[in-house]
Amino acid sequence: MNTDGSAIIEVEELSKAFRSRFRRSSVQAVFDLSLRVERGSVVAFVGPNGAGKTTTIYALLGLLNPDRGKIRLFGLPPKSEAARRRIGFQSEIFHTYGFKTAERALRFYGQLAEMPAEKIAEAVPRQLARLGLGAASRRKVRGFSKGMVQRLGLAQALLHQPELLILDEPTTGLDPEGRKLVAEIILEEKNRGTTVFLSSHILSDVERTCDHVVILREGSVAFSESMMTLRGGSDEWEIEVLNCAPRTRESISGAEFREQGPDILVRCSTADKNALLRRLLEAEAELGAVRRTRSLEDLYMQYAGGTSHG
Amino acid sequence: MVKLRAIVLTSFQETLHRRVLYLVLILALIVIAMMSSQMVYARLARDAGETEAVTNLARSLFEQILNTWDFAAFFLALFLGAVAISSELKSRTIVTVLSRPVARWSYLLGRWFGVLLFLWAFLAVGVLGALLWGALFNLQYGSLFWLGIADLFVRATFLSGVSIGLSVVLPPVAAGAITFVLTILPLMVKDTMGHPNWIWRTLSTLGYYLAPAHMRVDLIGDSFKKEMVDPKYFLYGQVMLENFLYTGAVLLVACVIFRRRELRLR
Repeated sequence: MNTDGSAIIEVEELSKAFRSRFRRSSVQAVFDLSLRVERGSVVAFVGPNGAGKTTTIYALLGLLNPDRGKIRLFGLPPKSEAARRRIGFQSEIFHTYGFKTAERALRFYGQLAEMPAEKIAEAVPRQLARLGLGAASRRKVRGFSKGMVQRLGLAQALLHQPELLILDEPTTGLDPEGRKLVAEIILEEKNRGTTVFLSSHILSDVERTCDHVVILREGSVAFSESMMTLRGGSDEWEIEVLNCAPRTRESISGAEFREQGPDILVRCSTADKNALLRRLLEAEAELGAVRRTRSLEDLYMQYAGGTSHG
Repeated sequence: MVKLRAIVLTSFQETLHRRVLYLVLILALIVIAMMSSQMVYARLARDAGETEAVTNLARSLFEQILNTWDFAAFFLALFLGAVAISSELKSRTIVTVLSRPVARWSYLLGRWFGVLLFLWAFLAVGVLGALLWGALFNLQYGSLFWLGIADLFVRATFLSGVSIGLSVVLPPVAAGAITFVLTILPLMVKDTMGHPNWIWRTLSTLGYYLAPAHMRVDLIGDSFKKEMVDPKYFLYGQVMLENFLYTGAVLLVACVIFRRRELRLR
């Protein structure tokens, strides 16, 4: 992580409610949300549908006016053009003009990002190739598959090499190959020093790419921690035993385990781990992975699970 | 300037891809084709040496073609202006555009200029077609003719500008309908401004000041009348200028409102 401690995104006590036309009912989308994203970090913003992720992102982009609270991007208000010049944004489902070719669509977004013509001419084919759309550059977007449109959305966000990337569920509609590509691009951008604010449901990608995770529940931050602390802070371990034989089963008697076909997953505490491993090795068990059990998924279920309001 | 040009061009291209345009175009062409059946009479009159009858018929057709095209432009201006922003909201293409360093006013004006560029091109094609028709029959135009043509362009500017301006705060159907009502408001209030009932009188006066300037003469039709004396060029020009300024004022207010407006997407 190439952070220098300076804040790129600062949100203080942000609240936003959506009222019906005649104000008879209202939905509190975000309540008292505060967060800080440091330069060069990759922050995951996770939470169930309706937790307020997209509302927060739209408020960050100045597309929604907060009811209360303060937002600063690069120390500037979100509606400031100077701030938005330094941002690349991809929406959950990228919507663009179907009559434009991929190349022309990117050219258009490059012009809106105030890129000089020569930079556009150089960046458009490069980003299209990077996202695997080189061969489709002259095809109209209306003929693209959902995954191709999403890739194009990421290409337009990356086009002007922004200092801050805001990605709202960038892997929606992508196949595993596309998901892998997006994760790789996030890592590349991270290495380049780009700050990434990523909203995602794919927790394995978050674990792989992010430095910090913010779990949102009912419009508020339920959990916020660095991935490093998360990885190091668990007291529970999981030992994978492959093709478990009866002799192996005897060696783990008393321990909590779960069967997965011919394999088993044994759970134990840090204190018991070494003794258990010794017993398993003595029983000539075929060992698989040994990992901490407190995965992001566990945390997600703990802090955000069971919510599904709008 | 590059950003504005990009938005204008995209708005123009988007207009060219709207199905309603082709529907209106086909209907207008069908009406014009039906009118052209009168050509048979023109040919008969020419064969009979009735040159004045031929000229009158050609003149009448000329006016009808121009009126049909103007009506199509009228409808398109209302429709395209009213949906220029709402269609972007509906398709959500606005999100990526406004997440870029694009000022709201430049986005709004860019969308409008794109529609306007199309409308002016559409009118230019119609006017050129009508002029070609006139050239075939050697029609002579009076001094008001070009002012009448200019008025067609001003009207398209007014209708599209006011409807896009109103669409910032109103649903597109309401924006288009109110713009239409505004255009006929001067005729509606004309007779009730002196009404004995004060409510009618007040409403009419309010409507009078709210309404755009009304061109009380048919500039193109009257341009063929040889007996037209003392044409009030200054007054006609003033009406057009007022409608330009009216459009500008509506758009100015719309830009101020749009600057604060949230993007509520469904």
